[in-house]
Amino acid sequence: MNRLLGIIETPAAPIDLVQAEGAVEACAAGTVEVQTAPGQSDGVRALLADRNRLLGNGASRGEGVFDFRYGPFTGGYPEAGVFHLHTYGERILSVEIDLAYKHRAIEASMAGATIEEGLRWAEAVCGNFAFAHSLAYCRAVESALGIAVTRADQRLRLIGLELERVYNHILVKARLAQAAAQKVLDAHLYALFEEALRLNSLFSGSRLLAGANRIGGIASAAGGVPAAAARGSTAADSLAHGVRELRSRFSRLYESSLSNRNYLDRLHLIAVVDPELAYEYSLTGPSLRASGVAVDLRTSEALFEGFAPFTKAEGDALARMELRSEEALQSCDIILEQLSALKAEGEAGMHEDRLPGTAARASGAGVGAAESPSGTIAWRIEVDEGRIRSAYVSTPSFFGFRIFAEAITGHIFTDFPFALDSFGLSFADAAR
Amino acid sequence: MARVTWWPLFGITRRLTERRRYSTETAVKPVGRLFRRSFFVYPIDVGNSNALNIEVAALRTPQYNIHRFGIFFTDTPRHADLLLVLGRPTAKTWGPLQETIAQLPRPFGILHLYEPFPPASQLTEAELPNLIACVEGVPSAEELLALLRTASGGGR
Repeated sequence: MNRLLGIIETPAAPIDLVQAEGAVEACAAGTVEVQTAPGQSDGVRALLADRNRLLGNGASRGEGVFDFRYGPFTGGYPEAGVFHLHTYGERILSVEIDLAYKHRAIEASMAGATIEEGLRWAEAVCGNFAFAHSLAYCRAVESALGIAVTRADQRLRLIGLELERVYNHILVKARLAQAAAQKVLDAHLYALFEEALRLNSLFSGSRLLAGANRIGGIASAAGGVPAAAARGSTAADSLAHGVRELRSRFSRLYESSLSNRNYLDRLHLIAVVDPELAYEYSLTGPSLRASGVAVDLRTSEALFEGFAPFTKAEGDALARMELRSEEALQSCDIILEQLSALKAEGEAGMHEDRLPGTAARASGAGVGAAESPSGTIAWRIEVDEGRIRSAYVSTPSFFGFRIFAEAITGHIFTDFPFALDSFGLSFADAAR
Repeated sequence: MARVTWWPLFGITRRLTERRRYSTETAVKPVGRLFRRSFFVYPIDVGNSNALNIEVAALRTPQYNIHRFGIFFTDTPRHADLLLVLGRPTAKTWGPLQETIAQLPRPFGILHLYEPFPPASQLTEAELPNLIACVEGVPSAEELLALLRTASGGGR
């Protein structure tokens, strides 16, 4: 079934950004059938019509019901955003989420920028999904201008994408352990999180993989594996060793955490996502896979031979935590496979970090997508003689917050951090 | 590998805290000698891309063990000696930021970190009172610890 990821207003006619199983495409509005909520007035189309209004399932009324405003600055949540929790004191009756505090109007600011400046804007959307954003953006520009990427660079991009997934998944798990006051598990998971950031730095020279992508391939200027591969150094071996060590430590922690009933009880049956509803609001990523729907953009990556996404049936916070843990282990395996494939092929795919002269002044329109740690990120870029005419980004957190509002409804305040952290959402990503 | 059934013993043989010298070239004005062994930091995001939030999260890891230097994170501005402002304020975070500053007990300091992109001018002391340093870029957790140690009046 197709998911509607965005509606792009153009001077001619509106365009729908649609995800079929493993690919994202732009097509004229209404030509591809998408799932909509039967009998619901605010389906995904209404949601996308104005992405800057309050996100959620409305303001409940009734005796003693008030708006408990959580945010924008709190000790509990690291980002600036506001949750309007409508409650009579304990039970959450409905939620409205205000993204405006993090809105930086990135798409509008990109108009008129060169395609290389656009890459920096794309990374500025969300720092912890910087690689997925820059990859989707580069793919959009490459598709618009017909730029080819070497096999070695494609493999390096897949490694970057999985490194980002590993550290984000570990952070989500660490936050859940922290919320459940599992001090030992929390401390060890945070230690692994720091190790994962150091592996990122080993890979690309940046702890958050910023500046790793460039239009047409992977940047080798920043150092790390791409630069070292060209010189035949051992950075790739150190990375492989680090990933193996991280995998073994993480796997042991995960196994052990599953024997801890105190911890699991806090997650069990919390914020259950109904797959029907997830469809209607275009949810993607691990939160969707934890509800039993095997949709993953990585299934269509040419160089991921034999990739099969994991799924869980239950759809609750526990299923999302388990799924993210298993995906983190799978990502470590993928990184090791890609590193050895890279070594075996020994292809000198490293070109100069410079755009071909013709591309800098070319025109066209294209769509690019990547599976970020929390779901599909898709960019559509229109380029006019090397400058961006218009940009549109569809982010997984936007749909995730809408589903979160639905899933937390009916729960009590104590369930809030478990529900929220298990989705792995980010205000920066959703607000753009 | 053996499964752990008793958590207090898990990983107790491994020393995770690192012994390093944390020093910075950045000019930071210490909030005061008073805070050398007890320095409470309240971090707020006013519109950064999340990169700074991630580095602050990394500062909570056992590798850095910031409590040994008497540095603690607090959940409210009323207990804070330092306000860590992360990012450039967006239109809607200006108001809450001013309100947060008004809630800080005296003496206090403000450390402003912001990303180099998108380019914009630096905030001044008129906008952020008691500004002890303005740092452009995304410092790693290690650099961040050095900044906080200097701000607390320790680290020399």
